Amino acid sequence: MPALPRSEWYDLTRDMNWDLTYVTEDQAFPPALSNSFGVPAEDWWTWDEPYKIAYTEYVHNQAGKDQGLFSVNNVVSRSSIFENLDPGWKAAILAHYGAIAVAEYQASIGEARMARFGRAAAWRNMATYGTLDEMRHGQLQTYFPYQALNKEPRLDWAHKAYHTNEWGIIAARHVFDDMFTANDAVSTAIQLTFTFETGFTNLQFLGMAADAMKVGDLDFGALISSIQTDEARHAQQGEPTLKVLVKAGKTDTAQNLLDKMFWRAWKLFSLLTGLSMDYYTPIEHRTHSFKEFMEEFINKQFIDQFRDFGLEKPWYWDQLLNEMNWVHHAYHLGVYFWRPTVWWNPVAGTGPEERAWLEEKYPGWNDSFGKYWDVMGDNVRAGRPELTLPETFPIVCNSCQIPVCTPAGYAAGYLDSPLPYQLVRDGRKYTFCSEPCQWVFEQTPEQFAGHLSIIDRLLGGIIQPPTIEGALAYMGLSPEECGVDGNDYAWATATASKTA
Amino acid sequence: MTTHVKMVGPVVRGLDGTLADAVITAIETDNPDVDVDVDDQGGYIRIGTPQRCLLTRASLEDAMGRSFPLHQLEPSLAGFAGRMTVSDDEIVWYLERED
Repeated sequence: MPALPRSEWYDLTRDMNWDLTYVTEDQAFPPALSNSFGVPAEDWWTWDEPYKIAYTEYVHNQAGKDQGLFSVNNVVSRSSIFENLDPGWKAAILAHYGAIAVAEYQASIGEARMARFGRAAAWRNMATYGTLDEMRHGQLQTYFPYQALNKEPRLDWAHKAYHTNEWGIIAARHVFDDMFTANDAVSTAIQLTFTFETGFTNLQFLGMAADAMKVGDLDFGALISSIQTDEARHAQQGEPTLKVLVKAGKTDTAQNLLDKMFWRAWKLFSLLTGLSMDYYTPIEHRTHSFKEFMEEFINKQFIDQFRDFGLEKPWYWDQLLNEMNWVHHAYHLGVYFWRPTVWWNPVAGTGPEERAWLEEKYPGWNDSFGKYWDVMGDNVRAGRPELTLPETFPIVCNSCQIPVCTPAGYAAGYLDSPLPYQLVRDGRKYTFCSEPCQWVFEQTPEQFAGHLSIIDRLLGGIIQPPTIEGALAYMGLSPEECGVDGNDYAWATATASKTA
Repeated sequence: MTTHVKMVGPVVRGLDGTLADAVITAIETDNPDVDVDVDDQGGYIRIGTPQRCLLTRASLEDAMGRSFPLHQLEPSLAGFAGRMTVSDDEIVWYLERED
């Protein structure tokens, strides 16, 4: 290690900006890969990361992180902890690995794009660490599940999921491609590192770490909280990028980038984290409800942070607060009902104690969403569980790619109309679950117009035969992989009283 | 909008309890005029003070009882509230906007 304090040599080693003479700026930084939004090159050179680290320090820290993590993993992987995990928690971690592991690897592509096309040398330096970080996350989150394949073969969805057209993965891929796989460097810094990593990953990676420790899943808790220490550092690429844009009078541009990805991240995490926290995590181990975690990490911590730069809450703020009350309850009903279409075994999480907890956290739950579970419970108790399974398909939003749940939101008293939003463009009708989802589409319609949702593919004859079985095969789900009730319907027989 | 007290400060990994204790002690030393809020969620420990939170290397080393360059905090720093600035001798978490 150098004898000088870091502050005396740091700037010299990482600030290597120079005027281009052999090529034009657009040749070196093509707008498709690095949209400057009209900010001159020299202004970008003021980019100054708040969280500074030298390469020697980075390597030292990362080696220490993995040493600590693998010492936990070496012990736990030889134990019977996984076998003894609650079925609901297993659903949560199977969903996590499938939705996250390969996406982390794809995030390394986005980081690598910033490491080459970031507009300042200091930024490219930070993004190089970010690239290595995301490779670490991709590798860790395929390796940890791999170790337990003999106990749960569907843990191979950690690797397989993004190579399929499973509907949830189509939704995740749609937003992640927009956010980092196919985004320009400047937008990536605002949308991936600032909006997504500073804001939303805390929900899944810290909120779930809190639950993991209470459940006793030390391996998972150690893993995701260690990953989040990398995120806390490389997410800091967002702040200096935001400052350059704001200083150049591009606050509206930054706000627009944030508004768009904030909503997109909300939709995906209400599906992934919402179900895991409020239904899959065993009730005795829940730390907070999903809504409470949203209020802690997003409504307070993240909003405070981005308002500090002169940005404001997104225009759809009231609609976000509205959806926080109900949308993930609707998603859970859908995922449970269409459980053959996911690679984990959803638990209902609606026994008597869970229902009391849901009513406490979401007043009115019993009279709204509880009624659907009453009907499913009646069918199970009548010996007709097949009536709790799908024969048809839902309509899927052409923006977030998640089923449209407006009728459930309307029935629960949160929406004025059960109807979806619709838009006709160039002769094609697009359907959206919400006003912000339509707004996202309309920001860059040329980017999204050609995409076919899974239902578009079904109705367009791409999925053959157009049946449940045909769709499951199209989604890469063999009969052995299709989700079934994780508790073998114990919730229904445990139901002591009805609300309706 | 309704205003709330903006809390800033580190979120320490729950697996690093000894370090978290040292960070709490150091932050209490470095911010003598405010109450330090500690929220232990098991998997993470949120440490916060209103609007500005100082952590010096000297106080942290006193609490740890050994040399501890601040960059070595990273493996335990799972997140933080507010903005963060790091120098050789101190870390400050802060927010500037008043409303």
